[in-house]
Amino acid sequence: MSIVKAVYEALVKVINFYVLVRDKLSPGWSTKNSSRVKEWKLMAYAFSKSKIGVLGGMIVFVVTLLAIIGPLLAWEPYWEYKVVEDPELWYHPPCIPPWCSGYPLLGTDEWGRDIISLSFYGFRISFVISLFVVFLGAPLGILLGLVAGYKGGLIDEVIMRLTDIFIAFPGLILAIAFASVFPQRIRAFLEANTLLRDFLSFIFGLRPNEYAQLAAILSVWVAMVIVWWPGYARIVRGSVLSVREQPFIEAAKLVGLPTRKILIKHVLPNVLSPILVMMTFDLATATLFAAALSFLGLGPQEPVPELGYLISKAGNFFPERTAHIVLYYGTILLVIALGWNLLGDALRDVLDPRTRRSIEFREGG
Amino acid sequence: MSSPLLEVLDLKVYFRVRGSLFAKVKAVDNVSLKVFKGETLGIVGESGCGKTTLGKTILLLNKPTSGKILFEGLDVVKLKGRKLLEFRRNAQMVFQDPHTSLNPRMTIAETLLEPLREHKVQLNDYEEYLIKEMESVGLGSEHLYRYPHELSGGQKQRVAILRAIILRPKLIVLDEPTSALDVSVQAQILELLRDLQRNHNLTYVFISHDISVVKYMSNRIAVMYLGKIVEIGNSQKLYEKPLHPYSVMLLSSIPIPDPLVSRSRKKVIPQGEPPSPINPPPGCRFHPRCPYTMDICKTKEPPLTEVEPGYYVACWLYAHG
Amino acid sequence: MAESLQDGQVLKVRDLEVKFYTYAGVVNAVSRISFEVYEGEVVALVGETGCGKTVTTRALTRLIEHPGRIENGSALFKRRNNEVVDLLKVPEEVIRDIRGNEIAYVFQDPTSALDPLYTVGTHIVETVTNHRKVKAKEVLRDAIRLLKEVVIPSPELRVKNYPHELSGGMRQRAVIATSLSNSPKLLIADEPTTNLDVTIQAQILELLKNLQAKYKMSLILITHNLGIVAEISDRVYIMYAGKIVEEALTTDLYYKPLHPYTQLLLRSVPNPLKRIEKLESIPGVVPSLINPPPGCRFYPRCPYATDVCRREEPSMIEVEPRHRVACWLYLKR
Ligand SMILES: Nc1ncnc2c1ncn2[C@@H]1O[C@H](COP(=O)(O)OP(=O)(O)OP(=O)(O)O)[C@@H](O)[C@H]1O
Ligand SMILES: Nc1ncnc2c1ncn2[C@@H]1O[C@H](COP(=O)(O)OP(=O)(O)O)[C@@H](O)[C@H]1O
Ligand code: SF4
Ligand code: SF4
Ligand SMILES: [Mg+2]
Ligand SMILES: [Mg+2]
Repeated sequence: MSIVKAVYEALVKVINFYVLVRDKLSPGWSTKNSSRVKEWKLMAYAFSKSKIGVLGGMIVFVVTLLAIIGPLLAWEPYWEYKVVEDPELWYHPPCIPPWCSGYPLLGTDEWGRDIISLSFYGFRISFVISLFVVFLGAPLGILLGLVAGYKGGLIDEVIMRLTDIFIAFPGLILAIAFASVFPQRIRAFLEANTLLRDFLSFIFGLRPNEYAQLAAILSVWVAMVIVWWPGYARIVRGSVLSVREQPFIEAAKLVGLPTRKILIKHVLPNVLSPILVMMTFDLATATLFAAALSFLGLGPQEPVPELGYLISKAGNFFPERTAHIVLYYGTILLVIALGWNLLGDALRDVLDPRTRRSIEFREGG
Repeated sequence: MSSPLLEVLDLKVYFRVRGSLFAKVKAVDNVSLKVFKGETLGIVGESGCGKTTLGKTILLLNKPTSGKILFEGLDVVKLKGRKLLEFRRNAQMVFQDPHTSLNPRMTIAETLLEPLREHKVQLNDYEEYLIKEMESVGLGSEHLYRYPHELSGGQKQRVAILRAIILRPKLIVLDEPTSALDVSVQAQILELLRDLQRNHNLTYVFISHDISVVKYMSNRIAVMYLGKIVEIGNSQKLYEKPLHPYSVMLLSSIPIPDPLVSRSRKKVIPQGEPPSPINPPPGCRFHPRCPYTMDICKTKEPPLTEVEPGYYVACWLYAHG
Repeated sequence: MAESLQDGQVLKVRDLEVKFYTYAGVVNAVSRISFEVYEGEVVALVGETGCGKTVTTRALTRLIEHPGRIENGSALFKRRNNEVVDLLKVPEEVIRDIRGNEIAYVFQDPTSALDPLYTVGTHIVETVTNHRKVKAKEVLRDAIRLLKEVVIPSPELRVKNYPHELSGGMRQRAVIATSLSNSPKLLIADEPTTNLDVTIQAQILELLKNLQAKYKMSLILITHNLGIVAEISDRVYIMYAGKIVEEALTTDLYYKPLHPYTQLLLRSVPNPLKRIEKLESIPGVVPSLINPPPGCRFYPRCPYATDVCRREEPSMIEVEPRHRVACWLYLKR
């Protein structure tokens, strides 16, 4: 009850602050958008009423925060193999204070690296890959879906058959094919473009000289984008088919708007809600999919601490020496996926105006 | 009434039926009519008879299968670019359901600014202009920055009407503009439409299935049945003495808001339902439901015959075969 | 029980109050309304959109959904076995037994009332076997008879049809047949013809009229079409913004309307038989039911409003026999 109120008030504060800034930038903004702001606050309320949504939101918030600052927090560089100095560190089991001291809390991996510190890098990599896949795959799919749905006829037929082909294409095989072809080329490309290389390694939280690994990550990522967009194309096309029959679209045609403007101003905003929900769910799926690809050895290799790869290595001495690793990284992946899924579920209700407006409201939660 | 503002000649609009190669819905079949400057032409008929399709085709929202649409003497069917934009500025439409004819994600101001921007209307102060325009259709300035869902049905329809007249067109097609509204609101909207017509010298094509409303609004009425015009002429005459058997049936099914009259009048309870426009009956399309069917009706289509100056009926009872 | 039913009454509702708790505020959808229905009569419930007609009738069998709540009131109903129950207080099983059986509904949208996965016949069989132990075979024979009764041609074939295979008018006939399957005492028809053509509307109204007489049931007809009211109802309740403002026999209402709202409403429909220069329209809009105006709810739009109207709510008084109105013009102060 108090959580509902606290979350609601926090969100309202954020909204009010945003309104204040916009109003400063262009005076009169707040009066012109008062209804919009009211709707946001209603969304905030509807969201705060959903317990699982709030839980999901918190998880996502923490995960995002860790992904952003993780590599800065990590107290051990992932490329230092401590096991060289102290053989005891080889797959050291968890070391919990009253019973044990002097070793990392949750144990180490085969190179003697603290698995907690290591996971901070992993967060960043998983997060960036999933974000890139979804935020590149979705717009491509949305664009094609919009055009196919709105134009209909031959264009629709061509785009949708293409979509079918890509959906039928097994993502895994595509990724295997890419893993064998792409990494060398991307690597050569990165060697030539140092600026891009530095930028990419910065956002992935890696050392700049990790060409080979960066290339592997990128090829996983390209493979994923390619299998990712068709889903969006399909659902967008479906929604467009119903929106395009709405009288307000006809009214827009009567105004004389060109197709491009009709699509952007009238069609897209009205098909966006299901897409946002799908994107949220997909961030979970993409995280797991990327981990699965590296688990199968298609992603980055030593010393890059990609979560899926770390789990796959732990398979060697499972469960005697590595149960703690599998358990810890497995839990992390699970929690990330759970967070996005819970958030997506709540967003579905929040973004649907009808559900949103029918939520029972009682002052004070 | 000199030259017509709009003239439709032998208009056909056929739609392909999904999942069938040859079947076609003949939504509008060989319709010809004239609309004169400053008048209101009413179009009535049961749902599915092609009223909306006719209205939308006049405004080029549907592609005509064949036929001509002359606006001020110019065939508009093949217009493109600047010329088309010019036509759009002159001919607008108000849709049946105000809840779906406004973009739910745009505020009223955004919706109303769109035509002004697209047609590059230069104004000093858009906001002031919009507020004045809003007042002219009976809306307060406080509604300007609201979303459609925050307005009532009647208020939404006022916005839709304003969007249609904001560029000061010559012709407006009104597709059942009050059938989604309440009676008291309906009266407001009808009065508003009449005032606007007077003030801006507008020409209306008024589509409705509610004959009482059409009669109140129109100078002339066209009765449609299964994609064809079966009777067209002066509204008073048509109402008092309908000629076509279908018009008679249609008129007697209107409930009259007067208990003694409505319970004592002679009523023809309509028989059957309109057949599908995919496979309309041969000959006169009304013959399966008509109480006066003759042999000729089943085989030959009755032509639209002038029975009085400016008054046409398509029925073998009045034509000489 | 303090109140009981008088002779010939089937339903007596007192002080019914329903509220919806929404983000925008508390919607006072129905505010303390009272009405009664006699055996074998047609009562019309008339009012504009959102004035609470549907909510009122749905509340009778407790069909109010979240976030709505029935806050107050009683609804005495005489069951088939002459037992009088308060619909708002009886246990859930009893109300489930009454709903669809002794009180049946016909809703506005025939499409959503029929499940697309089942045939017309299945719908009728389900409705009957929900309430009575009879063999499905027998009911199916009955179903054909019912379809014949609602004038569906070749009923033997139509029982096997799915809803999408029927036209809108046919669907509404099928819904009516379903609602009649248990020979209800009270049929509630919520805008049964609003989505239909005038020609089909005339057919359906004729049908309802005949069936009502034949089955000797009471009919509550919800509509906003004053033409339909004139055509078939015996008595009328006029609702405005969640309240009943006038109650009269149909002829009295049309020729001697008392409430200013009723008077204006009657003048705002075009009567095609008359030559009308200008329609009367009621200025302004229906007030929001969130924080409705205190006093008379019609006050902001009423041409006769006085100061007392703004401050205090007028109560219902009987001005003439069987003609009641809630307006200060008729109340002595
Ligand atoms: N589920 C709901 N949530 C919130 N408010 C509701 C809900 N259902 C009804 N209301 C409100 O209750 C009031 C009465 O609604 P009701 O459906 O009874 O109107 P009505 O008279 O049947 O109108 P109509 O002619 O449109 O059918 C309205 O203000 C409506 O907005
Ligand atoms: N885009 C379309 N595709 C196929 N059939 C259509 C289309 N639009 C209308 N129709 C059909 O054309 C006929 C006339 O429809 P319409 O003009 O909407 O009727 P009205 O407005 O008189 O109710 C109907 O049978 C309808 O189903
Ligand atoms: S032509 Fe024949 S069938 Fe058609 S309306 Fe006239 S009399 Fe009836
Ligand atoms: S009580 Fe007053 S405001 Fe209400 S209807 Fe009567 S006169 Fe008008
Ligand atoms: Mg139509
Ligand atoms: Mg209702």
